[in-house]
Amino acid sequence: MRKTLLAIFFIAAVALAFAAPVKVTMWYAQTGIYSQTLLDIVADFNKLQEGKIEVEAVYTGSYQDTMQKLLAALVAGDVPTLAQIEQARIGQFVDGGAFQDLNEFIKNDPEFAATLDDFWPRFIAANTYEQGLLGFPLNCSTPLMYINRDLFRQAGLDPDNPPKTWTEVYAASKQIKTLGPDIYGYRFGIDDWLLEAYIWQFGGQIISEDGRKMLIYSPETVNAWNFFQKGVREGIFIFGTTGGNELDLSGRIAMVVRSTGSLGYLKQNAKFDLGATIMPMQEKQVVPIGGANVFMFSSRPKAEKEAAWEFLKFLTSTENTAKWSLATGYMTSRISAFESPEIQKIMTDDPRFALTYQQLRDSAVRRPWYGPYPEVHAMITSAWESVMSDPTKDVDAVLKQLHKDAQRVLDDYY
Amino acid sequence: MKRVFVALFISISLIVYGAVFFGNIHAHTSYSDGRGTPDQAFRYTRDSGVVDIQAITEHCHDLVYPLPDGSMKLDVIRNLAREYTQEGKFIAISGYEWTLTSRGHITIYNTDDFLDRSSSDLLDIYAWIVEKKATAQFCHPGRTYGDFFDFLYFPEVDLYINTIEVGNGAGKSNNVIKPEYLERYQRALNRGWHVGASANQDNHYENWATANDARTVFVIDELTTQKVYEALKTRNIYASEDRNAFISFSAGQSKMGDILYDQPTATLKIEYSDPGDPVASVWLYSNEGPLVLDVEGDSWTIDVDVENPLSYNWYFVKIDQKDGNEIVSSPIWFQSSSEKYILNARSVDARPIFGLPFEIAFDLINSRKSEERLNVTIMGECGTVMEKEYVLPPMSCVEIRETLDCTSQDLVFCVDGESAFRLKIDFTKFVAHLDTSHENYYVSELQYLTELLSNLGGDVRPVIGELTEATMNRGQVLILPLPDQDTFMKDFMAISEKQIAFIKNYVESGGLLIVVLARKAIMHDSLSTYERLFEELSWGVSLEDGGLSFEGPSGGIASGVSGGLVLKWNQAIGKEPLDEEIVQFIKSRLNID
Repeated sequence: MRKTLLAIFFIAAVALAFAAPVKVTMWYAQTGIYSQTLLDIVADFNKLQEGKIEVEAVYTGSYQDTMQKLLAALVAGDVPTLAQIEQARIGQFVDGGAFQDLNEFIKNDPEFAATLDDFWPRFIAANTYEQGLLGFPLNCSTPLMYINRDLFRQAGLDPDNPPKTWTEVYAASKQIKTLGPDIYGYRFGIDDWLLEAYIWQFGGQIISEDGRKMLIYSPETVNAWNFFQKGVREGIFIFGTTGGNELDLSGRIAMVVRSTGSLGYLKQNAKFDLGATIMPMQEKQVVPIGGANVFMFSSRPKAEKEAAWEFLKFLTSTENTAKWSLATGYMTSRISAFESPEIQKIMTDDPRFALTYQQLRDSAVRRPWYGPYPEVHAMITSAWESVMSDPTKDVDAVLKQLHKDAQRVLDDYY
Repeated sequence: MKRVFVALFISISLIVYGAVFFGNIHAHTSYSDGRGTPDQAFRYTRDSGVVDIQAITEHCHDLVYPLPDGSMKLDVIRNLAREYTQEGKFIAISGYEWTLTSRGHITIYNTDDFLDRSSSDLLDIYAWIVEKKATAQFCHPGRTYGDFFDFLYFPEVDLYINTIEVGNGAGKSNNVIKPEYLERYQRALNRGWHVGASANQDNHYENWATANDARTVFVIDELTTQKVYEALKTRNIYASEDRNAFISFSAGQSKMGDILYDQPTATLKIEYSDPGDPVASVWLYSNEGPLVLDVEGDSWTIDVDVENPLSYNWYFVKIDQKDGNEIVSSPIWFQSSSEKYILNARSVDARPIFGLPFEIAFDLINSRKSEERLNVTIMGECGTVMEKEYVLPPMSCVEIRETLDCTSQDLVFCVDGESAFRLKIDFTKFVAHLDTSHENYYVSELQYLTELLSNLGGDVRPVIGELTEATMNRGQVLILPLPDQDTFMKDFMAISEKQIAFIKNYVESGGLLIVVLARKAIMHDSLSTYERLFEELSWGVSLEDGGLSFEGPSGGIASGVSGGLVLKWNQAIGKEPLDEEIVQFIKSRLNID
């Protein structure tokens, strides 16, 4: 008996010594500088863990593509270990219990647990669900309003005192419009998180706390949508589903709201004096936390999940989240990274980078995430698109119908 | 309209075809934002056999990052291009794409270095291209990525940017030649660029050259690296959505892409052959518009006699096949050897007011390598409108703006006595501005009033944005509707004291103010600002019933030099008839018979 056990141990030890490294697969959804930086971090990790763990990062298309592929993989039973998933696209995974509660690793990892409060509290709150802490922040951002300071000056407006409310955006846009027919005060499209922001800022709501009741049809939302439609109708705002980036860089747009993650890109590419300010408010000062988090799938083998946990810690370490933030312009996940001299230097050199942290502290909230939300959101987007691309359309009627149709989707889901 | 004589000579056989080779000169791999590697891409396209020429053109800003082994991506691509090239069989090209969205994307070929967009703007990359004497291409021109400052022209850069994509796309459909690209192609030619037409797949997946049938076709007699580069330089290429169609476009011994000098007339020859793929329509595009040619079948030749009345004329051919595929040739240019041109002439205000001085603008081009004097005359029906001499630096294009005081509709611009450009002026009798900036956006509601003024020969333009003195002063009529009581942005209903002052000034200087009364009674304080305006105007008008009606001069006509008109809502929207007296008043104020 004893001999046998020894023999088994021996075999196990030999197997371990010659075993291939544990393979962790991570699906990600970004390209360019974002993927480059992620791949750099992965390469650093693999070097450190050579022979033990090997992370393979796989690009799986846009946020939407990645979600679709993950849903298919879930059905087929071949999900990756980790995935970068956009905030509003996680509902079905959460509801289906697909994600690993990371608290299980944290409680066995006192060294790490001691640093948990180093994460921005609103990021941890945004990743906490009934089942526990399901994700770690990766590329988080809040929306900023970017302004073309040259156009402000030309129109006789003070670029150091940019609009703080949507009414002020409207008034400034009227002034800016006098600069020429091709110039617009505000540019917007169908970015889903901004649609949420507009509604919230005008005092409206989208969906109830428990995700079961639509609240979108209200005088507040009608006002919000009427406001943007009015700007388009009068020719002082410009709406489009495509070509937004080109317009933003063209020097013909005075104000646009985009992710804080665009700051680096716009700084590099905009050939005008670029200003940035916090997103305007109307009735309420509130912004959504956008971007994506990393999630672990609970169905993967234990050893693989343990290896993935090592990688998650590495990815969100002070050093790497600072590196990620420096390269991409996204926010750091940790306060210590934010306080690091490299990041602080950026804020000192360019205070525009600090705005997003100000918003994070003051007014950032989690986006709706419920299971049927992607479908509801597609309906909201299509209704929004219909009234913005045809500014004679009756906003009230469209919202009323949307509310009804979306409620049916919620009812079917639950 | 240019006179074109079509000498039909359609022959079914005996056409001697030159050789053509097929290429795809815009594609990406994972070295930027695509998939796979350049090595895979060159191997794949070579082995697929669908093209003879393949370029890899990664985005400039991704080339900045070295590969894991420390080597620079562009160096690797250059080496691979050399490795994969087999003269006579397959030509691999290295390049990169300068990618500054909003300005435009440019692929640049066979350079040993690159310029990153983050440290450069359009004029920097132009200077770089000239310095490197590179071969470059305008990519997918248009709204999405940019149109190079509306193809602002630089004669020296024109020597090195030799092609433009009229087709771009890696979708399953062959439909890569889009109206937007075709329109921008003509715009580039009209601004002076000498660019030939290409169609590329711009692949980002591992389907290089095989995504669809889009091809850049090289009209060269043998497949060598040198001839491929020469063809790019001389624009001896055409864009095709068909994988094997042959076309030829020539004038005498010259072929598409060539520039011919001092030929007032010419015979253009178009040849087509694609057995089993007959044409649906054939167009000859020129700087004076497209002309449809009457040909059919899958193999034919046609001769077209043309006159070249201006110092700068271009022609290209567009063939639409019955299966929906399109083919676009590079142009042939007929130019004056004076190398002094006028292009892009236009009236600054699309519809200037008849009888008043108006501003025109044009591009004056000196393509000579020496400083030159250019004597510009503008001729109208009634004789010389303007004559002026300009001195231009060597190889330069300058935008000139001048004010003309004439009523000629057809203007001919000449440089040193040579006809250079023809421009038609679309005069309007007067301009009426319709205010929409005081919660009074009634553009569609006031259709009746708008049509009335249009029928009197006027141009009604909504005021977009703030109502300013400068906007108003560019017209003879200001329509000011009272604001909408139901607006949810009541803060914007009032007119400011400043606006009251300049409207008063406008009226006193002869401007015709037409106030349209409220659609619904206004219960808001802002109404008092309109009462203030009437006080200042001294028309004797006082508003009643929340601006629905008024007390004052009969019929709303405040006569006299500083007078004007008050219309009830129903009159302005045509629900109540307008008295003849009112129409007469408008006419007399605008001096219309």
